[in-house]
Amino acid sequence: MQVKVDEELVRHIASLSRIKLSDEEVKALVEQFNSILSYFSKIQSESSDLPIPSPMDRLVDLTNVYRCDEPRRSETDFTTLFPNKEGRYIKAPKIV
Amino acid sequence: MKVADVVKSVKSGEKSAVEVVQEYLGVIKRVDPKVHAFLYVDEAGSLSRAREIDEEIKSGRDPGPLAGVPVAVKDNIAVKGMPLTCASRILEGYVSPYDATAVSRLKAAGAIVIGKTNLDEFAMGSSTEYSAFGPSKNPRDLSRVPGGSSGGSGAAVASGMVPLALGSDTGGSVRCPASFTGVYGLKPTYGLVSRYGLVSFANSIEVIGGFSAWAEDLSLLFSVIRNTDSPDPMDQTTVFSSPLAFPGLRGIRVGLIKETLAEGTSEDVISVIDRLISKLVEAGATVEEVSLPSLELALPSYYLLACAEASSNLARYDGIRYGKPCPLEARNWNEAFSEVRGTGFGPEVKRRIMMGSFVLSSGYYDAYYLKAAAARKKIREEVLKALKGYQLLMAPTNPVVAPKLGEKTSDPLSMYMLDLDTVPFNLAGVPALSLPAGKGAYGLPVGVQLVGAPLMDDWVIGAAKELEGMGAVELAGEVARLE
Repeated sequence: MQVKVDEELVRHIASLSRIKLSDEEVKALVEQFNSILSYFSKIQSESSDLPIPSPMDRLVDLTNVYRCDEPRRSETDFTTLFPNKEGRYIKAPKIV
Repeated sequence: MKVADVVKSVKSGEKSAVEVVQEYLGVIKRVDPKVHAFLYVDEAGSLSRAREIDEEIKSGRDPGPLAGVPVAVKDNIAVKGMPLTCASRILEGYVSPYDATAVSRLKAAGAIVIGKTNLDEFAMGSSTEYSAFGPSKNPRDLSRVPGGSSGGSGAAVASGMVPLALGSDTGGSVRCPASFTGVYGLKPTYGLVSRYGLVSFANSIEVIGGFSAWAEDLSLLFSVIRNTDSPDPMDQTTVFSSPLAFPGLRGIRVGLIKETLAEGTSEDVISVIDRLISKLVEAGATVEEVSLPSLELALPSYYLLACAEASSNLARYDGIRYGKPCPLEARNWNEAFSEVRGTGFGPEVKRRIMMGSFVLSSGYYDAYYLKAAAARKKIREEVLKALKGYQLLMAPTNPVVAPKLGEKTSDPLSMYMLDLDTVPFNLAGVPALSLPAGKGAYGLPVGVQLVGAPLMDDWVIGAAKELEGMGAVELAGEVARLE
């Protein structure tokens, strides 16, 4: 399955990714995605017979590690980083 | 000067830690305007830490195995009180409230974090040209890239601005700059160095690694940062309480990976490999060609998986909790996020997030993401099988020497191709070291990878040390003097 990427698909992915693009960016990305995906298409032809690994398949076996539930940092460590704030509250765009 | 000698002179009082730090700060002042390896240099902080180290020594305490050694840290790894930018506009104004585990280990060993180094934005790239703050330059030839993404760390060590540096390696980001700038670079076994405090890009693949001019220095650095117990769920803390020591090259079987020497790998790179083979044979090792047919799937598999993970990991940059502020006058949250992400991220990061959203989206998940995951499993199995027959595998680090600045930026795919020979070992999670084996075209450095079985990091370092000892690593200890 070789996907043909067009401007509509790029705009759809940009919206899923929450990234605003200019018209020039969209045009450039159409070309770049087509070139990258045509190279990557060999993953489809060559690995079609391979078994699909389980979602839990990873490089390291997980083992449970228990730690004391102790605060390691203070609230102000994080509140000082808020770019828009009022006191210890985050300011955000209006919801309604 | 080797790291062990710096430590020795500091501990003996022959030289103070303050003098050591001043010397390196002096080199940074004179050389970095040409190289642009650093995004941040903490002159006051590193000198004050050096004074503490000197006090400890005077009062008879041992500051640790890296007493007074200046270290540079890639700017996607958290150092308390220093900016953490990931070379991105979206993290404008962010100052890290804590130390990464690898960094706190270094500090506890007496090392002094002297500053933060340049990288491709969010570690996505192979040249540092995708840094929002301008590229670093290769100290061996200032018209060329230093490789990436940890290019600032590689360039800093290669020009003598620091003896040690930390980087991160997701698809070759330590080994590529090590190869292009002519220093050692280690990508450890996945999980052996904590990623706590490393900004996530593709967390099923990436590790923190290090750079040095000498093999012995790398071994010292690694002994300090390995086997950490941290909030990283992938930490391998309990394994290998007494690691098997490297037995020496005599009798070792080395597999030269045939596919990495195929078309596209330049002649000068191959001749450096040939010379190294004759040295290995001279040392009593056996070198044979080994074929890993699935390697041709490594690059697409790596990029599809890494982009998928990036699209989810980088969803946290929304301009609400930290970094570049989102516009409060936006009509709704999605508009606010899209605005700040559209202006805060650079072109390569946007490309990868979008590629990741694409392969994870309905209709394409089966066709791309699952196929890439299946290929990854196959590649890992092939690499591990080869490492049952051979104690070490060998491959070029990159198919070519460092490109000119601007040579690859117009075509993203050609930039990805630089990672052809490094990504397989990230997918497999095995240790891989790039050694500055020799010089290729235009006298530029050529790196060669030694790859070991999982957790056998000491073996790849041991092999590098022995090769260096017999004069087989042409650029070992040789830093570029740009003063």
